[in-house]
Amino acid sequence: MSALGLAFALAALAAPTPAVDAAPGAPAATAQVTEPALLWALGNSAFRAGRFDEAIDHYRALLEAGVDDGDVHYNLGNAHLRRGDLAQAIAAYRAAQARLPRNEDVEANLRFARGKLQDAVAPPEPPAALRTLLFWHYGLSERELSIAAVIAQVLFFSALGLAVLARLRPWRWAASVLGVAVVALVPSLVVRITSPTRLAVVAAPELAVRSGVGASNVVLFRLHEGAEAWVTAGEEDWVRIRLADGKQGWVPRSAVLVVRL
Amino acid sequence: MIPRARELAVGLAVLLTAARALAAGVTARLDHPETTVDEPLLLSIVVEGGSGGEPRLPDLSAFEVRARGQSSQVQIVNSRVSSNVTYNYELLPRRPGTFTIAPASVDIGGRAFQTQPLVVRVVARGGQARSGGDEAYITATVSSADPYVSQQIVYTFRFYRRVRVAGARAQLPDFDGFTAENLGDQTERNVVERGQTYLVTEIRKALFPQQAGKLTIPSTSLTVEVPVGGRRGQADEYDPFNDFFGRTRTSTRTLRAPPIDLTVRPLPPAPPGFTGLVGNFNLQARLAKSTLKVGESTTLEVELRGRGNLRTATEPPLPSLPAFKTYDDKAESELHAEGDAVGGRKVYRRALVPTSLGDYEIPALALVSFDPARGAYVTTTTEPIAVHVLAGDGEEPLHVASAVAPAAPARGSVEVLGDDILPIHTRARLTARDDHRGFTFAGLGLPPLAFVLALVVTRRRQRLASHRGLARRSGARREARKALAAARASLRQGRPDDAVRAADRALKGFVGDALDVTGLALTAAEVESKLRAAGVDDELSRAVRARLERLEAATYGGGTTDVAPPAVIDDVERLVKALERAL
Repeated sequence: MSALGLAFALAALAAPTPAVDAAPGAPAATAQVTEPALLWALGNSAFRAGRFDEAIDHYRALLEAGVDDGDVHYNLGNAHLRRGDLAQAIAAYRAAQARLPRNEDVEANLRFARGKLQDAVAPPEPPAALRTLLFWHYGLSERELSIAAVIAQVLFFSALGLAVLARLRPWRWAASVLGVAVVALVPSLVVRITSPTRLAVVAAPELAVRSGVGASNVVLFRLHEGAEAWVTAGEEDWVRIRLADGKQGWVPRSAVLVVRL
Repeated sequence: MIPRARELAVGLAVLLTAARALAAGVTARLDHPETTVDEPLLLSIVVEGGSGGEPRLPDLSAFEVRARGQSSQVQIVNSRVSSNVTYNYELLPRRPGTFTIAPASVDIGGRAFQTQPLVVRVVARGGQARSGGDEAYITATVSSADPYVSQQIVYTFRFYRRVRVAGARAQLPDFDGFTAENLGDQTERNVVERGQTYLVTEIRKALFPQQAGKLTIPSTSLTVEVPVGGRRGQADEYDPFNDFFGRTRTSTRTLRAPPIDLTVRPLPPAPPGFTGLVGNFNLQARLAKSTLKVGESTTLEVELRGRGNLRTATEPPLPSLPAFKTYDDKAESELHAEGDAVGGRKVYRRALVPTSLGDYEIPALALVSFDPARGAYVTTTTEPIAVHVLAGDGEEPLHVASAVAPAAPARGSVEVLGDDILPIHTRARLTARDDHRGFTFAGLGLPPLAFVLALVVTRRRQRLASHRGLARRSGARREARKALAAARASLRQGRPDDAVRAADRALKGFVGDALDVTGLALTAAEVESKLRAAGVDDELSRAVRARLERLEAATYGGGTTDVAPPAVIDDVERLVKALERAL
């Protein structure tokens, strides 16, 4: 590592918070780097310098190190898009969207990427009525949902304690209201953790969607790179997908990117 | 004799061979006499009554020949045995024309047999073409083989059959180089062809070529189950896209229609204003109100109606209207199949708000399109529309100067010049994937546990509070310890009498609390009796009685204890512990 690179790395390691920003044009890492803050800074630096392959390597290393942050997925999506990998970019943006559900940058770039799709396929989204009705389930990230559920749980049992143990009548109402919140939030969180939604993004330039597992089955329809679909079932080498308009079929697992939302 | 027998046997063998040769026959047949280039024929050579070698085929240079195996059949009718072997060959025509397939020859029993010659007609591919035998075949056609760029043509796929079939799966080609739209739903009807009634399923698509030059629509295929050797039903008895056979034996056949070549003609040099519309279109403009007041809005409706690539149509440009503010309104689009074409209408609406009174005219709107039928560009225009604008409410009509003053230039909408992604994020928490799971599980699990614990403690307290005896028993040891501590304190302060009294109080109090009686009022004998009644063994009961008697004697009799006061306190403590275990 050059002296400037070493100085940069030390500066990054000494930073009080992980929110480290790299100066444009910083040199690439030449050694195995595992520190998340440093990987983040090196990835951003490489992106700014136009070295998108290198930026992708750093962002991917961050994710493989266990960091699961929406901003990392977002930057990874930007790097893929700059490099021309439409499917990878959309997959990364969808992952970022699940972790940063109200971030306008993610929405804007995802919209931009979708604008380049060949297929006029509506992105798979839950029905608007369901999204409104279960706004906490579809509008919060898993982390936000966890925090909300824990707060509701603590407040509920505190109010219940005051109502039942201390026999304070006004707390009964508070306990009832908080009980509703717990009933809404905790099962939602359990579903999110135990049955995460999976999304398939077509990675191949053109993909034949077949009526069953195996290349000998009838081609039902064709999709092109970047098209998104729900994953409804999976076998070892094939996954079953469903488009927003209800069309279903099987595709080779190797031809799609499966994103866990 | 022996030479004679040998001659006889040889003669019989010659006679049998000759007889077999006489019974033998060779025929050739084609599955259909007419075909198209790229559509294979099946040539079957049937060798009856003999087991000769493979047929020697004639010159078939007009075809690609592929062997398709052989089959044999043995029949016994009225004790007569007959057999035949069928050799199958697939012939793929190389070029159109009428060809004579010369006789093929087969050697049976040393004698050469020949088939009859066959004539086959091969038509050029493109236009209507069919595939399959007489029982079931498919065709794929286009309405025009030399359309203009963006001119709509109709691709028609037809599936003919006069036998029962099932499990039909059509594989329409990818229309690369075209945009394709369905022309209505799949239809079925009966037709009569060559004296036979066929049930025909038809699928039609509107195709719009996107580029000039040679384009090819790839081959269309259909896989279908057809009955083999079983009874054949009528064509109108079934639905071919569902299974129905039950126990009927079937075989899978793949029917193919050949590719279709098209020559797409470029459009002539376009005049100004041409936006790519190809077809037959009509343009109309309407104004909701032709008389209105300043500030009042009306809607200008521009309707584009016709047949062609309407989906790609854009709004005809509206000339500048300085006396009006204009606001884009919602466009409306209705596209559907109209016979052999995709047609419909697109309606563009704009709200117009006059900014000054006077008489104005909305100029004619023009639309340039290419009409393939004429092979020329056509300009369609609307009629100009007169608008009479009155003074608005509360406005003095005589203020001509202000009324006719030129309106402020209308503000244009922001023109989008490019599009790009937003930049990367530079701040992140960089949290680990599961770092909040521990917090979550603890946060969800601990509150109910804490609640249950508090509930248990509270309930216990309440139970104790409601049961005096239980409370006394629970506090007996605590009270005894307090009394013993007081006794030791008295001893340290040089008051041995007080220490002894405190020890007496500790022991009696413990017994009283433990048995829920008034301990201090009991005599030593009563204590012993109650302890025994409570299940304490005799030895301990007697020891407690003895200690109490000595303490009472020391307390009330003014005497001294049997041992020094510290030892008394220790003894009392020992007895309390023993009673605690026994009770």
